[in-house]
Amino acid sequence: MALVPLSRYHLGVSDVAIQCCDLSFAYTNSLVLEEVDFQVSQGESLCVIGPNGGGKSTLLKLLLGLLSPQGGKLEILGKSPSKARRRLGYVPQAMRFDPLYPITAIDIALMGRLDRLGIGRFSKACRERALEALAQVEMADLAQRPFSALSGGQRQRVMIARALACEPEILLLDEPTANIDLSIEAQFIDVLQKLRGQMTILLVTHDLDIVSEIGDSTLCVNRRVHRHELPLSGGVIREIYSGTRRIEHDRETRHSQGDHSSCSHD
Amino acid sequence: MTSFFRDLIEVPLLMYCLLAGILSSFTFGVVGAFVVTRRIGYIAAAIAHSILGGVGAAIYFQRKCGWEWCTAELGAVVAALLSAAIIGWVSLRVKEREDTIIGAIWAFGMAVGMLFAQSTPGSGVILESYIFGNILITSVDDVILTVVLGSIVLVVVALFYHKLVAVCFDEEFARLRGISSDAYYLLLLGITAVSMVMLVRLAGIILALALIVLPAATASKFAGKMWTIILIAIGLSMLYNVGGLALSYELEQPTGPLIVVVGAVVYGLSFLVAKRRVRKGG
Repeated sequence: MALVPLSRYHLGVSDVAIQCCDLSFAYTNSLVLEEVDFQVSQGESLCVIGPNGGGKSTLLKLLLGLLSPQGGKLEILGKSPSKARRRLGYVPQAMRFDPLYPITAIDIALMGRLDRLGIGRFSKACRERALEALAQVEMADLAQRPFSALSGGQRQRVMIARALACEPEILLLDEPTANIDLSIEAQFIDVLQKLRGQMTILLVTHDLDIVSEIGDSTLCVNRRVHRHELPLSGGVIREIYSGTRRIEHDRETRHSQGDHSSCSHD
Repeated sequence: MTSFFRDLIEVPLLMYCLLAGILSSFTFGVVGAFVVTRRIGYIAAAIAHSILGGVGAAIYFQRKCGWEWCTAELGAVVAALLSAAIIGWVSLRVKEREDTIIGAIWAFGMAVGMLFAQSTPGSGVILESYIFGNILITSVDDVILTVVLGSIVLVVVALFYHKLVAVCFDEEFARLRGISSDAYYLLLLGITAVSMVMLVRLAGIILALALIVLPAATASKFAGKMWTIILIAIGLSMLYNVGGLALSYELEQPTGPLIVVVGAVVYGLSFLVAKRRVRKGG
């Protein structure tokens, strides 16, 4: 299992962000993940793909320390997930929030600094950092705008700003483009491309456009995991663009049946 | 309206009512904003109804067992906090439908109250004052109770405002940043419970929910930030309480229902105004 060439990130090969060995997880009586082995280097952008119910979200929850594995070893930045949690930035699925909730963009970004808040108000340094994070996603002008008055794409960028306000070493995104339209997706890809290489990115997605734009490599998750290297060759990219959804679907079906020949893009 | 303000100076009782109404508005505005935006109105209603059980039990033990310290107010606070804890614990830990447990607590509290009332002669009048509320029986003690309970609630919210807002918006993310989301959710239910006790004293169990929800619901149609909703809700709550009291004094009608009618009408009108604002903006 070869890793992505790291030279362009000026990092040593030994800098491991996520180390996962023989990991397994089951909800009561149903095995979701088994024999999960993979490693993510620092600075790498990894896209996690796979069929619904294949265990992508479970894997993400394990990485965040919201679930504990039944077996195997999982280390993030050399520590257990719950200890490494503060060094992660997390962007949840787009449609999970109450759109009527009265909160401004800057207050959402400030949530990334919650671990530095004692009682009372946020410090000036925290506010500056949150504003910087909004500027990174080009949302600084709308800092005082209520969440309800933002478009879908703006909301998603605020969620990324909140994760960036955590000053993360690893950015985890859970299907960030599910249910949002194509023009928004293009903006979203712009934002992520700027972040690519600055930090480790692990992105769960169904969207092969995003995989080819952002990923260094992919991790197919369907109970077990299989890693496939990117960039995709020109022919494969053309093939993908000609029928994204269908190819994704076919590939997933074959993957779930244990055939991984189609998962190899090179 | 003139006689209300003239009598205000001469009749201390009226002054206490006015004070209780104005002071409690701060708490109702603050807690109402959280209750409305976090969508826990029905939890607040269940807590209000369970108070009857606490009051009934407290009066029973006070009269039958001679426990002088066991007052109706104490029973109300204990019952409200207990209900909040049970609903919170069930919705966080036990895989039971939240609306089911809300309904169970709601009816159970009322049933317990009625059973104790049956065994305690003379307790009916007190229970009735809790069911329908009567701002006009407000005494100095009630004003003091309002100030003490209200201050506790306001201090808690002032200290943990950002954490409460964050947990209400996205409890999972707050947990990832090291915030104990469950504890803050229970804290929110706790201050809601304390506010419901104050509210039930003034407006009664049946009308309590409207008084905490209507000002904040109206405010949320015009404000996009939590603290502006809170400020507007406090203002509206004061207006309703003082206006309702004055109206009831002049018209010789019960105070609670008048306050609720005023609040509901303003809330209804706010739809028209808010709609027009949106059209103008668009």
